[in-house]
Amino acid sequence: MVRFLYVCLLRLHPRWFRERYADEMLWIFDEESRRRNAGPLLADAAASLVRQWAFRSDFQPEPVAAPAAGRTLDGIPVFYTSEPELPRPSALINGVIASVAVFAAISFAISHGGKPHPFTASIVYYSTPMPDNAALFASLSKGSQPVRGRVMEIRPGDRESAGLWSKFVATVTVALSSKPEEAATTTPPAAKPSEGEQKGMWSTLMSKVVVALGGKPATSSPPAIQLQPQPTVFPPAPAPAAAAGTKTSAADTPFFSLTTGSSPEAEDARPASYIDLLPLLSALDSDSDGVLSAAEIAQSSLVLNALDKNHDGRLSAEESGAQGEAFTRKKRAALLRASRAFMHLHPALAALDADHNGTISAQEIRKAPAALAELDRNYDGKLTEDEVLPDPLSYGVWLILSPLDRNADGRLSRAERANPLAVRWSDLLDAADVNKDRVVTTLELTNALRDRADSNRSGVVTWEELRRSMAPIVARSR
Amino acid sequence: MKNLPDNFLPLSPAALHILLALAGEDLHGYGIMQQVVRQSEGKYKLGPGTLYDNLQRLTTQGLVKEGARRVEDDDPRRRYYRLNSLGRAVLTAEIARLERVVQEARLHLQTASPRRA
Repeated sequence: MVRFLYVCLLRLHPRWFRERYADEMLWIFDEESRRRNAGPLLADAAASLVRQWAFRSDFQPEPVAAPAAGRTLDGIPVFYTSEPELPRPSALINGVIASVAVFAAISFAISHGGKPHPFTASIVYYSTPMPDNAALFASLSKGSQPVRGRVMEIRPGDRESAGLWSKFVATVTVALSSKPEEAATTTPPAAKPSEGEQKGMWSTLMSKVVVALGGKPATSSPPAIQLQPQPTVFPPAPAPAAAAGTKTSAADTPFFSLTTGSSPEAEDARPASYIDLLPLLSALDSDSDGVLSAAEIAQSSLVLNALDKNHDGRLSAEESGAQGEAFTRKKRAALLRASRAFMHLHPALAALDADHNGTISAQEIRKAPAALAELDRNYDGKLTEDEVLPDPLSYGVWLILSPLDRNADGRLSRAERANPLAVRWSDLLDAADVNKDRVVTTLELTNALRDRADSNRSGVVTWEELRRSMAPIVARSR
Repeated sequence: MKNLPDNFLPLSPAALHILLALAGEDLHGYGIMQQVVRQSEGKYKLGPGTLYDNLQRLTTQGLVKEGARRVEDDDPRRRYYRLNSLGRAVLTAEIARLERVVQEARLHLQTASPRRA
């Protein structure tokens, strides 16, 4: 033990002294410690340690300059090289401290910076609704390879994606309406839905295509699509006798009910855009022009705080616009999975929910302007519909799956497929079940929907292709 | 500046004893320590830290240099040190200085001794 301490003291000596004399000092220690007490030797080593560091720095070998060959060349700087000696320990410590300080300063500047630099890559955080449907990524862009991952850049299949959401919504609206022409004639000009009207309209939109195909259109047609959540058990398919204009009862209404708004034929009304229909984005769009301006993005934190109905400091998926039975369940695990799927489906929500835990925390709300700015792919300072649209194929899969997947595990079990609502998709689900185990996973459904919707076999499903694919099913379901 | 022996004077007690120890023969560090103990009749003991601190300084000043190993099977950690000509000259000058000091001391001691009445 004493020898170990002595060795430690020797190792603390300056390198030039240690390399020259440490072995000899240790040898003397070994010889002397056999004959007498080693205490004085330890004291001597400690005194030597202080002496060498404090008073003997002038014995440190100076770096030897290399031959100044550059001096022979006029106008060329002279460079020197030093011997391959390590810097002094004090210099190393100072370097470490300086490096940590610089790194901390840069990290602080990055985390508290303002608007992203225009050269910053535009990254949209996007996760598939379920962990095993990596094939969804194949539809993200033309020519892109399927990627199994959680973060990737999403680019629209083509520029015509912008606005196709509106066409898709309008087509579904017309298809679901028993008398589309009536909707066109009775629809008042588009107006901003009230807060109460906004609630649930998103969920109705996505479920209506799949679930509420037998639902009756409302007698009065509010603008765009109004969703009224009906958090009840799945009812049987509405009878054809449920004519338009009749009020549905709780027993025969589908999981979501849908009232159709202004038809796309209305010339004086702006078709409902995705920003109008996603309640969170609609709330951010204070001037209801379908575009999130720079000012609206800058104020997003305040608006998001206003959406916090229960004042818990964060936004749940339901407060972000998700509606449906999945979000009223008592089972926490299912609710969490459904929340994550919803938040991950929509690029804007995925960007806001930076940690992808299914809720937008207070810190994420504070960083909302920066998170939304990341979606601005063309750096024009505003967000348009095409910059926040979800992936069509992912959306289609989720549209079909979410009303049926009661436990939100990303797969339809036999029991879940026995749901009457699943009958409408029986052809698609049967085609998806390639292994014939009567269980349809997200991946299987994705592949089947792609095969069905990708009419031009490009590998990419556009909104128009999704609309064409789903419209016949919608019509047949009526 | 030329390395004159007087420029190194006075020597510290440790340096003086080390040079004295090396004046007779080449010694390794532990041998120097033992020789110093003998010279001082056990009154002065050098620790390894003090020894090698002084050896480092004396070597840097050019008074001592490292000698060759004497025996092939000697402990490889042993290094022998040798007094060079400058070191010997410095030691001679230091001894001469000390002799003058001693003479002066004796003179003063005799002068200061009480006179007989």
